[in-house]
Amino acid sequence: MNIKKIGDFMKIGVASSLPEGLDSPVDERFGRCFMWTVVEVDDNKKVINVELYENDARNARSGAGIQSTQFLSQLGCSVAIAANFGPTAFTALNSLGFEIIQCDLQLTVQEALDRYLSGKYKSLEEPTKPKKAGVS
Amino acid sequence: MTSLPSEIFHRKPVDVPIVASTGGKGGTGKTVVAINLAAQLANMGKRVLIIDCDVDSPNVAILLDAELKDEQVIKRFLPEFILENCTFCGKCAEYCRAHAILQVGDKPPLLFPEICTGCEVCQLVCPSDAIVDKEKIVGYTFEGHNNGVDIVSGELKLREPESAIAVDAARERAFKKVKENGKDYDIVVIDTAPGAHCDVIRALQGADLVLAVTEPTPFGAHDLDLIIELTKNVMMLNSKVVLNRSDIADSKIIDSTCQKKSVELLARIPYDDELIKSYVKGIPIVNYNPESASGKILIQLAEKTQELLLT
Amino acid sequence: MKEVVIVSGKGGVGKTSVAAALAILFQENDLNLVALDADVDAPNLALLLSAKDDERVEDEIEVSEKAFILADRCIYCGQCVESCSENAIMQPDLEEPPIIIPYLCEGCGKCAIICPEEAIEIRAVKGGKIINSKNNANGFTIITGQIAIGETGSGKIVTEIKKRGREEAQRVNADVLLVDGAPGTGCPVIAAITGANYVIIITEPTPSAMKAFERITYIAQHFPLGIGLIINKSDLHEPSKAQILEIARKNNVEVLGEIPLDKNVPYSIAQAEPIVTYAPESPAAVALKLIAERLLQSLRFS
Repeated sequence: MNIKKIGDFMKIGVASSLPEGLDSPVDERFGRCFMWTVVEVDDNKKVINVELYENDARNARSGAGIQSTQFLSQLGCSVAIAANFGPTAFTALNSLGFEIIQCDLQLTVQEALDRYLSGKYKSLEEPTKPKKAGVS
Repeated sequence: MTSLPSEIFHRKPVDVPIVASTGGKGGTGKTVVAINLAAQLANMGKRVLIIDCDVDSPNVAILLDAELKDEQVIKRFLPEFILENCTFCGKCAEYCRAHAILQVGDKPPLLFPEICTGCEVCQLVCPSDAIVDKEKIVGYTFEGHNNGVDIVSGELKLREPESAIAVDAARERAFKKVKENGKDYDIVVIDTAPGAHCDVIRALQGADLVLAVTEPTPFGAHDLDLIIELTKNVMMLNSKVVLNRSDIADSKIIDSTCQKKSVELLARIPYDDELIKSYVKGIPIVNYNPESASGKILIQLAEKTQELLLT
Repeated sequence: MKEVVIVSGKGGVGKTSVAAALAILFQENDLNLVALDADVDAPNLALLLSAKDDERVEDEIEVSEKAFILADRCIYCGQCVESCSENAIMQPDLEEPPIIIPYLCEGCGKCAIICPEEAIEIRAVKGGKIINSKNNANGFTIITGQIAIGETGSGKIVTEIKKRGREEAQRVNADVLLVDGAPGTGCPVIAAITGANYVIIITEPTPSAMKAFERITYIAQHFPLGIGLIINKSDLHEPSKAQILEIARKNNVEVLGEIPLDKNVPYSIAQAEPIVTYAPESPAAVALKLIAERLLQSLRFS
């Protein structure tokens, strides 16, 4: 019988602007977000592990989206959640088969996660145009 | 900046004196100064080559009303992956400091060309000869001639970020002309881009005289300070100041900047409607109306340049 | 919140003067705004908007990477000198470590890889500054980006000040984020245009400005935003003006207005004062007021 353990399940990388785990605000940007909250979710959609990582790409001269994609991929993530995905990040994530999830502005990691897991969001088919809070 | 040994600044690309026109702030008139200097030196019997290093928006040929021909492409390294040789080691992605390559697991490397700076490090570290040069075209150089002046112009393709490479290419083509048999020039004039970036620095390298063109406004003074800091204190080049539209305001601020930086104010060009007319017509003022207020000063500037560099 | 970026293709056509004037006029129209100076080589907006010196806050940021030679590991073999494709390494004394020329070094890391003694490190360097200040008369925030002499990485500074500008705009509930972009068409300009709602292109009727106008229009069209044109010194050369209007028409660029040649303008610049406060009844100031009205309509603020 194949018993799965922590590390074998689906991993979701959520762009975050503070190191507060599931209570962190979701960062607007993907490539240059402040840090990553990597959430592992079991087959019953239950959170079984949360890890925090600094985002070295945030100060990158260029290619932050690519560096971030590489980083999440090497951690084993298959889903990326942020409020925006620029064209470079989108192409990079898409090429590796990520689910690219654009969430609403001003959510916490927990809120974005809940909406994703309940099927509210669909994977993006093209990069986002930045959404602005307030009147547009 | 830490001090650098003087040998660096004595790297002369050619044996012919080079005078460069630059400005820091855009729109002060550095191109107008450059082309008039070139045209007048030609009138004085010198064999002049002018290099347009403002590769984002080259105006020298426009202001000299010269046709540009003999297009040559400027190429830059762009990696192309030979997948049969690729071992998916990921070194190319790992060593690329621009993060222009994505490679994970056993997926083929994916290049993001708009981010690639052409540094060739990926090819250097690839252990299996899986990277070749696709040679991306980033711009063009041209040649032209008018008003007694030979022109070499560099132009960067639109949206190409690396203007330094186009500057290098324009200079290389120009210096090759200077070194060719039978092509004897007395002086080279260089027009740089505005700003104080690496493309300006590359354009100024090896200059025997730098003319910083400014205007008598607080902005002019502010930017003059920055550009003289670059040319005189960082690059250690002989620098002088040219004040354009000198009479539209009190030039005290420029005088005090020049004093503070210990540079000579070599010429004051007054605001002159004739200069604007000549500019719009594409004829250097020194040919269009040498008796005009600005024409006379630019003629004097050419004579002073000759004194400084050609005697 | 609307993000409005002012570009020019060519330097010296009056971009910063117009930006300052529009900032003042927006405030006079009861709009809340934040101003950004993204002309990082030669930022002059704060100067023109009389930013208070005692309320300046400066912040250094890293903008690029450079090679550094660790002298105690160097064996003076000089392989790094040969390897550098930017000619940024010199070894004038063969018994001393080579010297990196910082303003030529691109931080590509080739020398660090080639070095047999691992005596070269690539490090991030601080080469940029972000300055927060407040406009003297009206109290709105001005965020200025400035790049150090000889540094590369201006695109990065622009992206950073835009981020801070948006944060500040959110904080004060601003209606407009007004960005004075860099001249030309290089990467700091692209960084400034990215994410904007509206781009204003300023040009003048001369052959060189016209070519630059075509270039910047072409670039701006790749972005999802409105484009407006202001012709400065509009009566300088009628044929060139007609050509510019034709290019604008062909490219669906909205003509916001024309500013005539006005002797008051150079005087106002010499006083470091926007024309709309220096000489509010002058032809240029009147033209700018009309332009501001038209612009506010396009942005749907009136």
